[in-house]
Amino acid sequence: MSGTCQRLDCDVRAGMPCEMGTRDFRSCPQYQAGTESATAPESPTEAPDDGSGLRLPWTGRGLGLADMTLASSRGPARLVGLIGPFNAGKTGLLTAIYAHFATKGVVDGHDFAGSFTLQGWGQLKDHTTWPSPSGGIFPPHTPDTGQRTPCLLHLAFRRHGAMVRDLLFTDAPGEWFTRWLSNEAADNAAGARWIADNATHFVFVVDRAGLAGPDVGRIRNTTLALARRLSEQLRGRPVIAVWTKSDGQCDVGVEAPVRARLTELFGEHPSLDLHVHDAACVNLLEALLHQAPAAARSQTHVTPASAFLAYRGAAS
Amino acid sequence: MNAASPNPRLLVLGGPDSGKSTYRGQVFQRFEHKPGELKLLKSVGDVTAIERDVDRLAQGLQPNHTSSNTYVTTAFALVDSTGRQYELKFADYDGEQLRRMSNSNLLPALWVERAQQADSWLLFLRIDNVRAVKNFMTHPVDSGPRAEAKSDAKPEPLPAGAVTETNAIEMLQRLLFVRGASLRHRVDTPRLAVMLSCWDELPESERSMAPDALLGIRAPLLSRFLAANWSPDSVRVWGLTSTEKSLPAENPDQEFARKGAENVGYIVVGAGQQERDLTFPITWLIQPR
Repeated sequence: MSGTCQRLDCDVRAGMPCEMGTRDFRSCPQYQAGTESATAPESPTEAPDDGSGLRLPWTGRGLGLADMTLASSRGPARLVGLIGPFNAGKTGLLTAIYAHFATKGVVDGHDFAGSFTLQGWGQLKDHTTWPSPSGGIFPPHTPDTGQRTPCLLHLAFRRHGAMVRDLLFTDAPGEWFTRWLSNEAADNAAGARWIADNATHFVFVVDRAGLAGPDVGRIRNTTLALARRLSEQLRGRPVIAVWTKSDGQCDVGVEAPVRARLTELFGEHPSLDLHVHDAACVNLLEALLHQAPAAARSQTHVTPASAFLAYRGAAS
Repeated sequence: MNAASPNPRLLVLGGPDSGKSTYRGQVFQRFEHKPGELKLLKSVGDVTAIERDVDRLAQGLQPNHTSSNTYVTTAFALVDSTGRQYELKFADYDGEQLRRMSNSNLLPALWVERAQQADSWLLFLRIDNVRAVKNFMTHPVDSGPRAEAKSDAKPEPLPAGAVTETNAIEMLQRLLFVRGASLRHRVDTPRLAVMLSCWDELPESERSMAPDALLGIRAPLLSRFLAANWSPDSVRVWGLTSTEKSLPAENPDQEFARKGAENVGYIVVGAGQQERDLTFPITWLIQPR
């Protein structure tokens, strides 16, 4: 396309649908056509691709905030906030969940029913494939981009013909949580706050090998401080703790008080010891699909839509 | 449910080299020379879009690669064994068009229309090319390469067949989306037949399996995607070998030519069960129920 849209918030140029909702963006009054060079038809039987068509609201890559309606239009989507410090294994966990799930396509009777982010999952998994010159490696750390909302990865499930259930996972860099830890209100911790505000479920990721390593003191401190920060935001929303890298060395003596503290902070919660080679990574999906979300998101009731509803009787 | 339609619209889906042209050519030979459940009511008026493929098959040669950016339709006037008549439009095109569709979020207007209007979808998947790619999480490697990629690292390009499964899923969910199927509930329409082509190229151990079981092993996500989104009566997975062996591109296979193209090819309907009537999947797709 050689034209432009006059709306600043329209992503037609980036290949997304027209912000004004037209099926063909070129018919939108906000769109200014450019001078298209005439191309000769390659075949008499089919007009060449002239750019007309329907722009789908997803590209296959990670979803942004504006795309959430896509997954939640057919029922309440579960937004799973993956919370954990830098290098705790959040992205590795996501990759392992998908890699193991993709070998079966089903977990506990929940069939894979689609994904708006197949490319996004594929990009994570592709790093781990072999044989390849690199021999199969971990996906890179999620880059700290300074965005205010996380990239979301999506999976849909259906069990025995019931309604589709959508899971969205946040893939946020650990730096967000580090900054949220040093200053809850920091401007550059907006992404972490967004996750804490909007997630319906939390997965709290603990670096199990780190707790058995030379940096145990700092890792324990960060882990517990982050757990505390999260616990203050829970509003009844469920937490699952995942202890990653459980195939390496572990120090039960260090772990026991940490586990006890997590129970104090989160209440009784499911806790999974996982590592990326463990097919049991899909148990996390199972747990998330079974765990009921909190009865209602409290924040949706904080500000009633009308002043009439906000009226709570005259002060005595 | 499909209403009884005298003009069923068939949407043929399949990437490059998925076996669309060969199947269409062979189905034509069956209609002409060896009728099964579906018979020609009268001879095909315009065969220009198919005659080259048919001619090559008759000689024992594989059809040529369908030239790019074409979409050619041949109309068949058919009658089934109960006397019901159909006007079937059977299209062929270069599979690159579908591959492009999975890689861009722009669905060309013509394909939007086709997806919306066709209630019978025939998907070709070259099953011998589809297989799980090994990754060290699910298939641990002995020599531990557990480094981490640099953040700007691009993963290695995958073998061509490796992306077939996710491409097929992406294509199907896009086409369903433009039909307005929200997938809130499983769909009855469009009816979908998945043809696992080049069945003859599979190893012996897999050739004896039921096609849906093999799809579950080679492409588990796609297999579950079908079960999750189509009601059981509206989706079928069959094995297909249109020519029972790969035909040469240049020197004609004399034995094949002598035997007659119309006598070769079968559908695998269950473990070890063959159906010689190649038109059988089309009958299932277009017959009202």
